[in-house]
Amino acid sequence: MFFVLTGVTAICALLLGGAHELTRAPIEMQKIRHVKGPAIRAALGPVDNDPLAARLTVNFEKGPLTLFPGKKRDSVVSVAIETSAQGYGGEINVITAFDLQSGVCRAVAVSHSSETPGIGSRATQPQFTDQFRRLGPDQCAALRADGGTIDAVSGATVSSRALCSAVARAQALFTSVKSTLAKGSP
Amino acid sequence: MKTLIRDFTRGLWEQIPPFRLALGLCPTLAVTATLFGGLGMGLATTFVLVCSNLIVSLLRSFIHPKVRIAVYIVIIATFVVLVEMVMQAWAFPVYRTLGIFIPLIVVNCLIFGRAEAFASRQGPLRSIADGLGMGLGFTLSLGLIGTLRETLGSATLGGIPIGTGDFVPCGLMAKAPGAFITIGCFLALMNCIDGKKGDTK
Repeated sequence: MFFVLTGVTAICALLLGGAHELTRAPIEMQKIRHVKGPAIRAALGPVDNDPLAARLTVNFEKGPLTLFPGKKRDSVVSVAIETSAQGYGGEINVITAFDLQSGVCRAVAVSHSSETPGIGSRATQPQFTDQFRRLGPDQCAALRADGGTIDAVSGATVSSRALCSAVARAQALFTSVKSTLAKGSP
Repeated sequence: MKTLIRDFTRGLWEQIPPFRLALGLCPTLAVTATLFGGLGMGLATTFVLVCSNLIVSLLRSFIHPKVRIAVYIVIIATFVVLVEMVMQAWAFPVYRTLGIFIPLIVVNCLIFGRAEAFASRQGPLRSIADGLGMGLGFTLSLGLIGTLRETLGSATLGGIPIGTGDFVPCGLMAKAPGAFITIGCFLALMNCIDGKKGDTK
């Protein structure tokens, strides 16, 4: 009785472990293509290449970071960075695209969020995120109440602030990888 | 051979789930708002059903009756997680439509019911035939319900808009009550056909 149950469980666990190893890479790929892909393309705007296929990983002191470069005529013109921040209903994943030359923020798109529908979710809509457009490299993304230039969505301060901090983090990351990208553009 | 065919066809009409064998109604209500949702769910269930029937049937003489439920659940859950991972890796859009209902196949009474009522008593071949029949019957039913609900409820079929401008889709059909109404209508139709058969006999 015990042996059968233990045996069945052990075999099942082995099987699932193997299947997990086999499917991990394709699942990652699918998630990038279907979940992050649309947000990345929207943020980068019109580019010649497939930013998902051209993605590259840079090693940071805090761990690896994946960048999505947008190319025009074979040279990198813009780059999208994914960052996250704690919102009201959980993690918010934000894609921020920067112009490589000027360092100006091109656009911001939310790739995943679980904010309250109709309240916090308004801070993930273009009406709010479009405010980050053309934010210069010397302007930190911050709410007006925190000394910045972004107007918070009323009733959704936590979500608005989370987006700001995610974008600010992307700005900091961009500044530190900018030089590597510009000279060694692959 | 005759018994095998009999086992197979039983799931296609005589005991077709979820109409005749009223098991597995919960996913039926939830995922049949579209044709592809219904078909995807049906095929996933078929795979799990055939595999679990086979394994349960092979192990039937080793499994002590006291732990049989636990063993069945482990076997079923393993195949469900396999399906979930494979779907996520190679059929992501379908996976997104079905969402939480894929892991919930574990507690689909249809699969458990067949393991308990059939596979634990019959040989592997007959169990596979039973699983295939029941699974395909389930897929067929979900496909039919899905077709009807998608056409009437959102005026599309397989995601492609159909019908002319004058047709206003009926929102009720896209909601859970619409599934109940559809199932009821199909069941009435089936009984009607069976009743006619009985007359001619």
